[in-house]
Amino acid sequence: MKHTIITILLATLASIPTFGVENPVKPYPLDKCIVSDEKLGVEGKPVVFVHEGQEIKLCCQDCRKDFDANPSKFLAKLPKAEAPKAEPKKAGMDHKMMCACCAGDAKAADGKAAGHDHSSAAKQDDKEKSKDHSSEAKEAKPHDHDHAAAAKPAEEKKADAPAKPYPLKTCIVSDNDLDSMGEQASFVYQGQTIKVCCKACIAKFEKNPGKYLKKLEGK
Amino acid sequence: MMSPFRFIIVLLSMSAAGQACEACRAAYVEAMEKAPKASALHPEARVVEYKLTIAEQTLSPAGKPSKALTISGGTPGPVLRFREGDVARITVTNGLADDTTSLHWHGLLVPNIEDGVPVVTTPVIGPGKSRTFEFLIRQHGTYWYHSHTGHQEQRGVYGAIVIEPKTSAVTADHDQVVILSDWTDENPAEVQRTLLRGSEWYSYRKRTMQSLLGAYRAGKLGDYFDREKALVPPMDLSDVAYDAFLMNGLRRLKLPGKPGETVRVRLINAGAASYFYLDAANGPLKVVSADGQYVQPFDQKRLLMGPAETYDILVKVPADGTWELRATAQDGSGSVSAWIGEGSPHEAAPPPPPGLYGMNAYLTSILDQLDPEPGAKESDRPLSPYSKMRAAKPHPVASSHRELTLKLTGDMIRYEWTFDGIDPHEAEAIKVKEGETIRVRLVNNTMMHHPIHFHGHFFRLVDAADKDPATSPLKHTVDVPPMSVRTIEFTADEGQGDWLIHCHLLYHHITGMVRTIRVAAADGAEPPHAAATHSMPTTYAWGQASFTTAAATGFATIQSGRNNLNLRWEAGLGHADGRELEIGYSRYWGPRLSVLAGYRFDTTSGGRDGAFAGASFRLPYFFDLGVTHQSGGETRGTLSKTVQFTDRLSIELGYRFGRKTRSSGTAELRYLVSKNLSLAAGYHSEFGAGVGVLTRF
Repeated sequence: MKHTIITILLATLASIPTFGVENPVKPYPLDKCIVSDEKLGVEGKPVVFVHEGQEIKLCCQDCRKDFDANPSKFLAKLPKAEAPKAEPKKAGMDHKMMCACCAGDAKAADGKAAGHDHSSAAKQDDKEKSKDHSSEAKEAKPHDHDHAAAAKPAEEKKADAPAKPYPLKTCIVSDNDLDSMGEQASFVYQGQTIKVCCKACIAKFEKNPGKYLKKLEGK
Repeated sequence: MMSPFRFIIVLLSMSAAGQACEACRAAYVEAMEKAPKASALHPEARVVEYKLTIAEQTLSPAGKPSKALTISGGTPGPVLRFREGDVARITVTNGLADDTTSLHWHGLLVPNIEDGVPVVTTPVIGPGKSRTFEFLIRQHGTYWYHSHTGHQEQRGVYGAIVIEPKTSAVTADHDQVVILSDWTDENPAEVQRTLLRGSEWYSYRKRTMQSLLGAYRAGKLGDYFDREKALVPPMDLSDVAYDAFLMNGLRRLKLPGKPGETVRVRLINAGAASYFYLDAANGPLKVVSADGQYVQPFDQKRLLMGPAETYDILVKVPADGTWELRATAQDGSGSVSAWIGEGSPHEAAPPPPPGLYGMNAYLTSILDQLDPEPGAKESDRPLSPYSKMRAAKPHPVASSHRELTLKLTGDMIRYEWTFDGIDPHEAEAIKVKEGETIRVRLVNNTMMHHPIHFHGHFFRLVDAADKDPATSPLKHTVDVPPMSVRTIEFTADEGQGDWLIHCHLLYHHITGMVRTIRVAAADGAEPPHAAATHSMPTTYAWGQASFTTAAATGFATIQSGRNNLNLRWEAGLGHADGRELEIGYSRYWGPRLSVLAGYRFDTTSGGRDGAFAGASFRLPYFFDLGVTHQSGGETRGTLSKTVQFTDRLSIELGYRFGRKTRSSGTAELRYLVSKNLSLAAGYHSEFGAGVGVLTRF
């Protein structure tokens, strides 16, 4: 009975996050590590996790670091049909699960990330790229860029530029403390790290990013 | 390093200084009391006199005889009517046998000594004693008065103030005062204790309890677990389950009004902890005044009214029929209506019920209303109509200001509400120089609305654009919605002294969402005594005990501010007879951490007696982790969580592990029967399985 109780506790712990995920997880379609191409199981028990609704399997923890540093690069190895779609984000969705470029957002938030860089688009004179990465005048949504394009070699080169750190201690939308709703959300928009206090603020930001980015002017 | 002798000398001198300071306060108050009063300063003014007596009586506001506090024989008290320029002379007599009392003139511009906050501004009125308040009436409009002592406002000590202007800008055939309030048959001190102990009883009574089953049925399991992960307690629009909502002390009110007449309804929300939505059957509400100040008239389909706010609306009585003016509690737990006209009844449409589980949708709605998209329509559950409000006439605006931020903080689980997370007993007064203009950003970091009232001043509401500051609305109370910011600006030109700013949800105010703003002289000179803390009852005790056929377990605690004295026990009653008793002290350091120390008597398997110290942590998903280290080398951890399956059914899970003692686990199913009783069935790995009851005391 004692073990039963412990099992119930552990099962409760383990099962709860599953309920929080709104979208079904796509199964991992390969039998090899998406980073090293090693056959899974050779290095021991595979490292399994979900990234942006896509199950990912790696041969070891070292590969996890490589994956986190540039997820788009490795996601391109998935068969086309299995690659995550570059759809605009649904309101209320966990931001960390939306965008490959933001998967390592904890690092990105500190301006140390080496994820592919949206800011490059803002810095480019190239109008084509500005279009993809939504100029502020157009106030495009933060995630209407094309992930497939992001995986192109030219884009990978730009990925070395770090995102600008977020200069405020408060949510860019509500002005509340970032931790007032528990875990804050963070993402990169046009090369600028953005932090919000809750999912509702992500949706609000998406509707009119330019309006909120004004709060960062001069910071 | 300070020697013990010197340390004692310093302590004694500090104590003497403190006493001297109290002597300074007494001298200061005495001097203020002896200073010429309004009637002497304004001998030409008409003196309007009232005598009010506060006493205890048995009334039946909700239909059942209950102890209430009355003002001159009734609740609400009499309407105090003045004309702008009068001198008000109000003698308040305390007819209570064993309690002090006070009256505060909410929204009135009065000298600091007349503001009516016991100790902070005004001497307390002891049992059998009287005090005469005197002040010049310098404004007009709809205001109210209420006790500022303990829970007396909730028990009935409130009334309306109507001040006629020298020249009226509003044309109406007559006016009617409607005071909204909430009534509980429980002693409000018991209500406070119930909230502090984290009881779910009020949520259950109001049908606002959140459970796994409820979330599943609402299709919001994702939101439910997101909320739990973020340690955001179940959303609740109101803390207390009330027995009745009242208008002028009645559950149904008939307002006089002939067909074709225009009636000015002076609405006052004297609810201790209730927001109301106002709906009229005969169309949108025409708002002409807010917090006593004329505004440019505007129509509002549904009006959200925070506690302590006042609005004047114009109602045109239709040619035939009786028309409903309905006030619905924001959480949908009840309503009260006034009826006007003659003939067949026409009911007002109630607001849609709140979505209990849609936290993200709720926050999105708030964000959208505070910052609306072009062409957005009025919400079915609107926020206060501040965005529509403009002052009827331009008012002066300061050319410069100093900015402060006041964070509205809280812990719903412990039921502790504060500004900036600081216990008011540990907070220093906010110092302001006379004549200085202060802009205060009220940042609400909680999931509840808070009506913030600043005593003795009007402030202007500053919106994001602040395009026309001269017509920004002037108010004395502002609603700050969950997870949002309101900015107010005031000039400290109403006299030196200590003025309160606080949440007007009474139960929040009492736990600590209150601060003093000290207005010093323009050169910074201030009285020698420290600003007093608004003394409210903050020490409460409670406990619970579970008796099953296998074990007796329970706890009891005495809580005062952030400190708790705790007793916890568990004892086997069946095949195992181990016992454990802990006596300890804990100090609350914030929603996620408390530290504790005490002594443990332990005869369970592998246990031993000894002193312990440690900490408890609140983890994501509301898991509570306790870690203690005990003399003799034992280190112990406990992990526990309550899972609410349905409105009544929950399970309490616990797991204990130690370096030297055996690990153990517990699971107890509880079925809520009443506020103080649940049925229990559980298993304890030391003591075995059993069934019984759980009582709360």
